[in-house]
Amino acid sequence: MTIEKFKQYSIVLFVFMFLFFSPFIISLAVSKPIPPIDVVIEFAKQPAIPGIAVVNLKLIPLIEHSNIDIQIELSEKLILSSGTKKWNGILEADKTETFQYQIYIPDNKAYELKAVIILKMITGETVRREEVLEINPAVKKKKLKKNHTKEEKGRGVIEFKGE
Amino acid sequence: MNLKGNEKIQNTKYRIQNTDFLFSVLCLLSSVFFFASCGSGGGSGGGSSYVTISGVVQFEDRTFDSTGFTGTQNKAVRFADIEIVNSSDSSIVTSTSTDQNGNYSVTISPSSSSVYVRCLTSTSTVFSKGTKVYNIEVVDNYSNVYSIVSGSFSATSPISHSKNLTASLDSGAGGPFNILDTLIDGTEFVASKNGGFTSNKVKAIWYDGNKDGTYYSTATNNLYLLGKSGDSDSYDDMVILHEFGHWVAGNFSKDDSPGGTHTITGYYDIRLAWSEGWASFFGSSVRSYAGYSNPEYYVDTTGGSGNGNLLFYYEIKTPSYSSLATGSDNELSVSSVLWNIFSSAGFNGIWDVVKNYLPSTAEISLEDFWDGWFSKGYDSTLNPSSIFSNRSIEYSSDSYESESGDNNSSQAEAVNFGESLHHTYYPLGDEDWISFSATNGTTYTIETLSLTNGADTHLFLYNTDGTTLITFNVNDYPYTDDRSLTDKSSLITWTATATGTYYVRSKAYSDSGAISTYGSYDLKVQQQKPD
Repeated sequence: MTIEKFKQYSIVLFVFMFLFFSPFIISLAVSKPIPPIDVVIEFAKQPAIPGIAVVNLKLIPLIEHSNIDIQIELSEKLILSSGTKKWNGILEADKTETFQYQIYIPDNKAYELKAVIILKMITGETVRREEVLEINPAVKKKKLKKNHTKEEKGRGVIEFKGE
Repeated sequence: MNLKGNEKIQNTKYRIQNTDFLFSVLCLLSSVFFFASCGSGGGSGGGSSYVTISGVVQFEDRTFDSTGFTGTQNKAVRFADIEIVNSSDSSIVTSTSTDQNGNYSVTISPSSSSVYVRCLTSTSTVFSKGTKVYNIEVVDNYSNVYSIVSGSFSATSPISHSKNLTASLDSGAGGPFNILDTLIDGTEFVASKNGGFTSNKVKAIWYDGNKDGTYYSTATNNLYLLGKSGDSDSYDDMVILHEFGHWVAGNFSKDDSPGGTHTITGYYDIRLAWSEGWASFFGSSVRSYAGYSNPEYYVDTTGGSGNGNLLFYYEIKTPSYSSLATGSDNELSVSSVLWNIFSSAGFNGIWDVVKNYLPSTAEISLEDFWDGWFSKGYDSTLNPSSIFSNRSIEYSSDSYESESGDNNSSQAEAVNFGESLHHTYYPLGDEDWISFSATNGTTYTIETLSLTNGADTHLFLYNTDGTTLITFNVNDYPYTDDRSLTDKSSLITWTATATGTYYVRSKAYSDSGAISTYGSYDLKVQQQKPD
């Protein structure tokens, strides 16, 4: 391949990439403010059911926190094999703290693992965060008590009993 | 009579030519109809021409304060679409809207079919009240509109039906109706301040289990609201109004935010800080106009059942995290500045600047709002200098400027090595000059530090004549003025080839990609020690 050919291919590739990605560049989203800490709860290992799942709770503080309380709430049938349900300590800015839990899941029903985090910042404010990890969410029952959805002339209407 | 009937009459051989006779027949027919209707009018409802259906529609609202949810109360569903639906084929018999108090009333012709009443989370039939027109819709991810419905009933008798509807919290219908109500609060506010609204549709997408995030998309012009366990925003009025604030900026003004995740204690691109600060301030202004208590509180809940369930809150009047809420690059600081201007001078001046000044500017930030406030002459109503300086926003000349000036080499301030001199780029186009004594063969670093308020510094080193350019800071191509991709400060490392007094010119970066025109920073020259 000559240098000229290479240049031509590069230009074509650039144009293609630009056209492909331009909607993502132009489409901007402005989101709601988040508290000065990021909380992530995720599976480190998905279990064979029944079996033990490994769950990581990550706290990513954006400013220093003078005190922090963590509490894990489990659905009744879930059993905590390892990891402490309650923890108290101090978080430094930009230093991620990871907590690991091993949880026994008895069957393939839908469960929830809720982490409640209460943070006291050096500025004095207190922030409460709740993060929920859904276990087997596919089998979770729908919460909404809607009657049904109707299709009318291209428009759908979800109907709830209102009386 | 249809067209075919007319043609038949035209074609008949027995066409009536005598107009007097035709008039007589019409009179006879009219009389028959008249007396027939009088005969049925004497009874109580039997055979009436119309059936009236009326009622009041409410939704279960959740009250809140800085501790989270505090209770529930029923509230009118205002200006929402009402449809009378035929139960057998789902056809719309007629439609109307609820009024300010949630009341509706329609009349339909008697029918043997059953009907039911349906109230939608939309005002898409365009309820018009004076000069105000609303066009709001709350839908799920498939654009299905939510509704509450009555049971089916016969549309023949009795002559009037009372059908009250309530969207309850437990049913799941209360949330979408709360979103509608909150957006109506926002729309009413804009309409009152702007003298009318836009015909653009306000479309909010929310559904139970939505984990996509809460945001406003400039591409679709829609609002997206979380519905996930642990953070559902259907009852978070301030969160909804924050996103609506972005919508208002996008549809009445201009928004140059680069977008992305942001926290209230963080320091970001000044365009993002303006966009987010405006949005939170707008939400508080709406709540203030609508008469809610403590409108200066932004409250985000988990959406969980029962009282409390606070995720986090902050105040914008005397800002929470006060020591961190500083500068034009912090959204909470921007919200606080706007709120304190609003508290002293009202909303009209702010709206005038936002709607009529900002769209004509590029890379919109708090700097442009400041310029617009003065450009529009609102400084005669309120000079906001102290409000800005309370949040360490320095849109003012630095001390060197006000003493003898430092705008060229002849005015350059002689500096001691290692001494940090605090400067601001103000007014527009301001340059800061310093001088230092260099010794042949010695290496020096000239740098800017502690950049705030969106400062983007650019340094130039001049020879002893004060006019011959030796070098300027080139560190990370193509960001030629920056220390790194994420650090807009500047650094020059230079070894003197002759002893003498040299000059440094500092100015705000103003070439391609420049965002800010003002900004605060420290300037320092250091002599490197020989190895």
